[in-house]
This record gives sequence, structure tokens and C-alpha cells, in this order.
Amino acid sequence: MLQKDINRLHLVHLGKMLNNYAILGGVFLLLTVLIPFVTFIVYLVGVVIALLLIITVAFYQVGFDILTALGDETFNELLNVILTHMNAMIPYVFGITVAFAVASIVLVVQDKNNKHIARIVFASMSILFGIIALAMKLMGVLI
Amino acid sequence: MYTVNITIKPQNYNGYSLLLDGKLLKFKKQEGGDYFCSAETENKNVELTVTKAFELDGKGWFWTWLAFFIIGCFGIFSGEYGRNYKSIRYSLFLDLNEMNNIELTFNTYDERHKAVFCKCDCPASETLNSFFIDEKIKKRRKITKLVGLALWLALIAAAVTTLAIKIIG
Repeated sequence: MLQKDINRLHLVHLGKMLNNYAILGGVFLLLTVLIPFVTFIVYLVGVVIALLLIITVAFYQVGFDILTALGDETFNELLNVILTHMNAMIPYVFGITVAFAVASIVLVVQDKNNKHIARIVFASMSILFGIIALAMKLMGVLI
Repeated sequence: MYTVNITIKPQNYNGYSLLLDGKLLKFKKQEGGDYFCSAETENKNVELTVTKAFELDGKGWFWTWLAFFIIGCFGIFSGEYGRNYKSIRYSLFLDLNEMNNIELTFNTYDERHKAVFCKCDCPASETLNSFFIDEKIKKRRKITKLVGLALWLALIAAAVTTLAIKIIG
């Protein structure tokens, strides 16, 4: 019968994991929204994402796009490549983020020993950023 | 039919699992902070046990951990398993009246002292009442750490090899 309690712990753990993904998606969507407005963030995010993509170059075709851009084009053009990829991914990231955020909220409230208020707040914020990013994309504000 | 009302004081109650004759009890938090459960049984002599559920316990613990590890991007998003291995051994045999009220208060962790203080209005005898470190869970956590490290090394090796093949090719 203890297995029921263990299964509940697994569900809460799964909720935390989905929550982490939802937060990552929320950050991505927030940056996507901010990029057209804040030049500094453009450069900072560009460098970080370029580094990440170079590290994962063996696995993702997008990494090769970045490397190609690095070899042939200027830094600004490299950022354009990144922005184009990021904007193209908004609908997918939005869907995944909202699904994970909702699922994570449902799962973490199953924890009877701890209240995960911060996780619920962050998941809700991710959904909000997702809605803003998607609305901006649909309105044509983003590239 | 015998009714057993169990109240748990919230102090030091770390999500322990209570079983009445092997049946898991569900507690609800009351307004005052106490946890309460009312259970019914047909047996006059029953055993109340307290134990702690760990994620790394139970059936298929390794495969569950591995699934979480892989889904969680090799542990980056999967979150840590708890480092608290403190568990409890408690067993109380009850000779029930028709209506029984039991109040349990958990002690702070100390292997030298009693784990649970019990007040009940029916004849009862404790056979187990102590805290202990669950070495099985501690060992399993070490195993997961080592396997995780090995999988990371394998991933890095695979990435380096793939990159080298692509560059050479």
C-alpha cells in the first residue's frame, strides 16, 4: 500500500521537472519579446545562444546555420539568424510551455507536505509571457 | 465495526505514511494545523504502523529514476532526489473499542529517543518506536549518482566522437 505514497512522490517529482521546463520556456519567450526593444539583451542573448548552439553543434542543424553565419557574415547578421530561429520557434515553445506549466501546477499541488508557491507563480508567469509573445508574433510586432 | 480517529500534531511530521492493518490512511489538515483521519475496521485487534515513503523505494525505482534522468535532459531539469534518509520504525498494536481516539506527536530526529509519543483511549502496546537512517535508500542514491555520472561521460564521449567524425569526414 505504501506504493501509492511512492507513486504520489513520483508525480510531484514529475511536476517539478515539467515546471523547470516551463520556466525555461517562459524565459525564452520573455527574451523573444524583449529582444526587439533592448539592444543589450540582443547581444547578451546572442552570445549565450551562439555558444550553446556551438556546443550542441553535433546534434542540431541550427548549430550549423550559426557556424556558417559566423564564418561568412558579420555579428549582426549572426544575431539575425538567431532571432529568426527564435521567432520561428515561438508557437512551438508557447504550446510546450503552456502544456508543461499547467501540468506542473496540477502535479505539484498533489504534494501534501510542501507548498510549492514559487513554482506555481513561475509557471503562471511563463504562461503569461507565452501569451504576450504569441500575441506580439500574431500582430506582427516581432520579426 | 470499529472506528479509529487519528490526530497527528503538525510538529516534526515529515510526511510519514501511516498504515492501519496495512491499509494506507489519508490525512486531512485541520484548521488548527493538526492532521486528522477517521478509519473504520472490522477487526478488534489491529496494527498501526508508521513509515516513510522514499522515491527511491518501491517497485522499479531504478527505471523510474532513469526515465526521469533522461526526460530531465540528463538530470539538468529532473531535480534532485532528497538527501534526507531519516526514516521511522513505529508499530502499535491496538485492542479497539467501538470508538477510539489516538493522538500522535512526532519527536525531533534522534536515534536515541522515541520517535513517536502516542495518546490513546484504548489498550495499546508499542513494539517498535525509533528513528533510523535508511541505508538502503542512501546506497540507492549513491548508485543513481554513479550511473548518472557514467551516462554523462558516455554522452560527452559520443558527442566528441560524432564531432570528430564530422570534422574528419
